[in-house]
Amino acid sequence: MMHILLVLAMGLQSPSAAAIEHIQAGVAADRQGQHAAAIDEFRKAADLAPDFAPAFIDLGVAYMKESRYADAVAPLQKALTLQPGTAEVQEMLGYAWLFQGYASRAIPCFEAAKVKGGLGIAQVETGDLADAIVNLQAALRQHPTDPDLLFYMARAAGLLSRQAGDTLLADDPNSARAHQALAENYWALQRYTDAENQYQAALQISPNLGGLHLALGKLYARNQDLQKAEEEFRAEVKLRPGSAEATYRLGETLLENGKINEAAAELGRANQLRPNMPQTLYALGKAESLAGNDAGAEKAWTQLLTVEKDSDLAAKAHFGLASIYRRQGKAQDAAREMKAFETVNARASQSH
Amino acid sequence: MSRWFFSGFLTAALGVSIFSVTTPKGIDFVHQNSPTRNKYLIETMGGGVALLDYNNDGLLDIFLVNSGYLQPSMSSEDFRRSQPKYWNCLYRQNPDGSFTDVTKAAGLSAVANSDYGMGVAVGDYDNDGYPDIYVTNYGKNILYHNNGDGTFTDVTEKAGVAAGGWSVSAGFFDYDNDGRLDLFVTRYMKWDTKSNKACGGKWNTYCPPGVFPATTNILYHNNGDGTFTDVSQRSGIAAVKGRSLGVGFADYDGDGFTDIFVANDGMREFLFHNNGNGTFTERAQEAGVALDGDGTPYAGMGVDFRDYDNDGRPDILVTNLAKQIYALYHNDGGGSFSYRSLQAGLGTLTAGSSGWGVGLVDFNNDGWKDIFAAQGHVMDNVESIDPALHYKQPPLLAFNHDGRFERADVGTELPVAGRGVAFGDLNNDGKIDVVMSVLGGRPEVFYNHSAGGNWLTLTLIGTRSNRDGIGARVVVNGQMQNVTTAGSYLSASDKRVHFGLGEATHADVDIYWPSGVHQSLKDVRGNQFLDVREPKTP
Repeated sequence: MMHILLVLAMGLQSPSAAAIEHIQAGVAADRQGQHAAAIDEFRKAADLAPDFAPAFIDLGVAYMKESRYADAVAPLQKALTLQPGTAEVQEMLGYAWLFQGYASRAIPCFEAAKVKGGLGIAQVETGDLADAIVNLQAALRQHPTDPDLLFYMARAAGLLSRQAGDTLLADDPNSARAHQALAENYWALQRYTDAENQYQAALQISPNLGGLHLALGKLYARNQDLQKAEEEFRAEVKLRPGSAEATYRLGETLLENGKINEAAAELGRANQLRPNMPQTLYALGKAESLAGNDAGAEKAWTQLLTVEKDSDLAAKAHFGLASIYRRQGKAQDAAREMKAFETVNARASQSH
Repeated sequence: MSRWFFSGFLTAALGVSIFSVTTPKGIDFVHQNSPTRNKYLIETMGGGVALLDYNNDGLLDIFLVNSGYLQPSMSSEDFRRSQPKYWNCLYRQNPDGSFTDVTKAAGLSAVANSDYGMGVAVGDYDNDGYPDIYVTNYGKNILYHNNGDGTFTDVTEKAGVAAGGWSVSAGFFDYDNDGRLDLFVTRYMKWDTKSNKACGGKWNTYCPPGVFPATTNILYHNNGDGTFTDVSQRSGIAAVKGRSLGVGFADYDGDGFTDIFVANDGMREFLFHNNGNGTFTERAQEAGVALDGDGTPYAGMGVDFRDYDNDGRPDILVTNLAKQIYALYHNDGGGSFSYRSLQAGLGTLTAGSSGWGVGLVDFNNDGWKDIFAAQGHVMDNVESIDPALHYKQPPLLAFNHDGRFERADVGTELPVAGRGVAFGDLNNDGKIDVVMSVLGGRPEVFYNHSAGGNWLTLTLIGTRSNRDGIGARVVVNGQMQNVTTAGSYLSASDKRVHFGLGEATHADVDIYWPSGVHQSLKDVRGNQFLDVREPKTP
């Protein structure tokens, strides 16, 4: 319990015996979950020992447990007056303010307590998004799965992104980037035709801007217009031959368009640019298999299975291996891979 | 360069379609599916079409399956089939190419009100030389015996082939080579109007098939006395449950017995290997045709089971939904197939399409089988959910160039909800025409005026085998076809066997009859319809 630790740590002057009795009774009530009774006892102790900081701390903590944040503020402030610089009390006071919506009052408390998480959350509330992200990132390094921290991190990033987008659209609405940003907004809203028009507008302004052809290619691929998708991915790869994603997308689309050998070449290149991406390895194996290069397919899929074992792609790799073994007349190997396919497929389906 | 090649090249270069698309004079059929806000699944699945010469006058006639009346709340399953607008229709072709509705005169107007129509199969089950008609329904199916005088008689009860549940596609074939046509019926799922539900939340869509329990398909053995026996259990057909739609027949492993491919919706496909002893073993997975090339199940709809690359072995083409790719399985021999959709160009052609009835047919007589597919999404509001998808689409025509398919002008850009497709030479000009049924609409007839090559069309007359030689393996100048009227979706095609000969003016013909007889014809003149009678002795 915080109050016991604080009493020991502070080495404060001894209160009266009566005050101590009330504190002990409050602690006992608190342990039994009787917070209202505990509050009553701590308040009596504070009345009897108005210079004894732990009594006020205990009272503030008890109020916090009862979600009586407004009531918690005064005893916590009094405790800080009596014993300035107590980080835990500063933190508690910060949350007392924050939970009531007084984020700006919470900030100095969290700063004093050096509590990055609380500070980041308060900064999100006050709109200080850039600093919030820095502090939340620091807090997430300590508590990477904390749902509050993750939520506020996502909110801060989203708001910052929107702010940047709004600024872009307001300050330079006719720039290629503005059209690109609009396109992405339209895409998120599933207004695909509008998104396409904005990407095209961006391309007219800045034909060599990286990412536009890639986005258009993805849009066409999504709409099952595979020939146009191929054209766009080709354009992106021409602009940015070092882009593993563009190269992978081109290879995958070539594969769907039945240009098997060219697909295998592009997917091989994508695998060199960014080795061991499961999607690339799967598509590469597929291209090699369709091209009749069973050894190449086996190599890619076997490599994939060293990277992923229980995913959809792993299941597909087993299925592909079974197909090439069946074609080669290796019945036992084919049966083994089909069994693995079914096992992994069932596991992957369950995890979905 | 030959005249044929030059003219064919010009046709392609100019973007001129080989088809003129029309509804011929006399055909006033409008398919009635009666869509409701309740999204009864049957609404979106019908109806079939058949091309048959029911009166043996040498001209193909058209039979169209209607569906029925539905209302938002079905207190009883009365589909009002007794009203003329919900009748199935038989249109007799006249010598001038027009058609006459002979439904009532032929005795085909009477359908029970409890039957919501789906598909049709055609076969001469009693070997009397006249094609009989089998109509599938949600409800009870109907077998119409062709009396040979322009009329039909409902013999369902005597024949014992009413089935029940929700039947979809059907086909006649002779699985035991006893000279009599047996009957296979696909069934979609265990479903009725009371158990129906809509899905998709605010979108209110038809539910995916997995929402409803799978069911068994049915195999009827022809007893030869006008009756059939349900052998689904003892043949092994009922050993697996599916959500089956299309069915195709061919002897994929060359053992002399016809096998069955069944397209299932949203689950693995079925390949029933004929063991030659009256039983079947489902071997899709072992053969490599159960799933797509990534090991993923898809929405199998229509099917054709034919040799697309002229290697002498029947391959399998299955249509499916948009965002999937029509599945093409190449028969590698040895009972094994490989997925060839991408190499064949079907990724580009079909990733955005939803396909139903389909055929591998040589439309331009160049010796390579092309693709025609009826198209349109299942969901009538799919554009609201994803603007990239379409409820109505034009059909697909793709020419085959040495095993790779390329889009061709199908002759119409009008999007429709295509469903059934039947193939046959309506005007006997040596070029295969197409009739496509349209969900909730008028059928479309695609008259083929290709400037393509020579051709040969055979009519088989079985003596030891079944009367129409269904199941015979016919090889013409290296091209192979198993004789069948089945395949596609809900539909039945002309029983005649058509081959494009390209520049060849003559052909060598080999017929491997189901009886085991091998018949060889040398140097047969092209550009003719030829009747071939099965020799009485091998």
